[in-house]
Amino acid sequence: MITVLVLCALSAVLLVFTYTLGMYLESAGIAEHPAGDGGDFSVVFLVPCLNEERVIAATLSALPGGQVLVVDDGSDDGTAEVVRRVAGPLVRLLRREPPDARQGKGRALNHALRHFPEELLDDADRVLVCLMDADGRLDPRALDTALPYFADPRVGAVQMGVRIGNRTQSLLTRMQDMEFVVYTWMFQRTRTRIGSAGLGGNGQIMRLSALLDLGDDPWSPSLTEDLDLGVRMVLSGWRTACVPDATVSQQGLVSVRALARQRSRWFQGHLQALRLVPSVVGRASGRVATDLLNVLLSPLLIFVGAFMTISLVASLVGVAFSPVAREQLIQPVPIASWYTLTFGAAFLLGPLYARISGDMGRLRGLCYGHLFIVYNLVWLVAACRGLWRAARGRRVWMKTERLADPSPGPA
Amino acid sequence: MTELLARAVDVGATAFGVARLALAVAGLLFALYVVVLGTLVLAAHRRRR
Repeated sequence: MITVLVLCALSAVLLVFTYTLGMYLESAGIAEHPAGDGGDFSVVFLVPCLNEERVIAATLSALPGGQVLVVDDGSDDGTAEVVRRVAGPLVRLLRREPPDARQGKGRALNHALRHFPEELLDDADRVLVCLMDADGRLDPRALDTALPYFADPRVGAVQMGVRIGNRTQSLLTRMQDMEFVVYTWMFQRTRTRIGSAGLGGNGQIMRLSALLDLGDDPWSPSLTEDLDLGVRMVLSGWRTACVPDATVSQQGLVSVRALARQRSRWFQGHLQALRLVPSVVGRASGRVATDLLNVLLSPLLIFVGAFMTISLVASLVGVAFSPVAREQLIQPVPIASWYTLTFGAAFLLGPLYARISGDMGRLRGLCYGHLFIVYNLVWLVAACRGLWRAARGRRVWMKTERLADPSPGPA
Repeated sequence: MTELLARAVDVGATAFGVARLALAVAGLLFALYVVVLGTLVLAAHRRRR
């Protein structure tokens, strides 16, 4: 029985690798951009804030022209004063006060939507809402690249490619950048063809009519309200797309502890999103259903990886102390098999990152590919912590602390 | 000294067993993932028909 399950584990690695390879090949073609300049649309920038005095001034200054709605969700630092100081005539500040404030990003965004100007609601098909994090910086060409996608009336939302602005600061920020690039250029591009690209909050443009289609509160109170929104939009019949070459940058986290905490929050949000599974089963079909279910169930795969890591560590202990283990494992075939199964994906991801980032050669990219496999172990910590918090019913998280500007730079 | 070595070998053998067991659990979870995903996709497909 154990042998059968061990074979299952090996097949897991092979299947996940095959899936990754499939995504790589599927996304390897030249991206087709829709014609047009997207000039028919009005764009409203929506910037939720909670204690963002360090970054908000630079963010607002860097936004292209258009109306801006800043939602201050109960900041107790100088965020509101900074916004008032730098705000031009098109910037509007909405303040939420306790006890309504700090009930989650989703609730703050719903509040903002209820305060949208009436004239925009009347022309909701041609109004786009661009959601920006308070540390987000749009690439100068981002909107010109992304807006034409809305010429297709079925497109409800477009997600820009996210880059880490301070990616050269440390290996950790570099790995976060690689994570976003790989996710965007491999998985999101393929999901775009299906019409169900994931939404990620920062650099997320939504058609106002698609938002209104989701009811009075389009954003859920979940910890990953962006994931929920994307799934619900697709279930309502809209297509979602990702435009990798329209980029938005954000700050990368500079400590492993903060990174693990952020990913734990994401993981817990992913667990909350499991409640969408019945809706997907009831309302989706074909490739869309398969894709959405695969995304929603993916937390389980992290635990597959966790037990594989435990197995690897235990094997190393075994090799150190047991002559039998040494005899069986210190052989060319087991070592080569282990290396291929563990680091095989690095040969896809590393060169891909080198090509997209454009600031390194293939060999360095390959080194980063190997480090990236190790970096992903942070998800194991995040999964355990997220599961533990979910089991104890704790769902309040401190938000991620920002670095002082000038980080991040342009994408 | 001999006893210490014998204990180390025991630890090694146990760790080797744990490694195999952990891999089996990973396999079990993956099989569960495939079964659940397959069942739900099939249910979605049937429901739409």
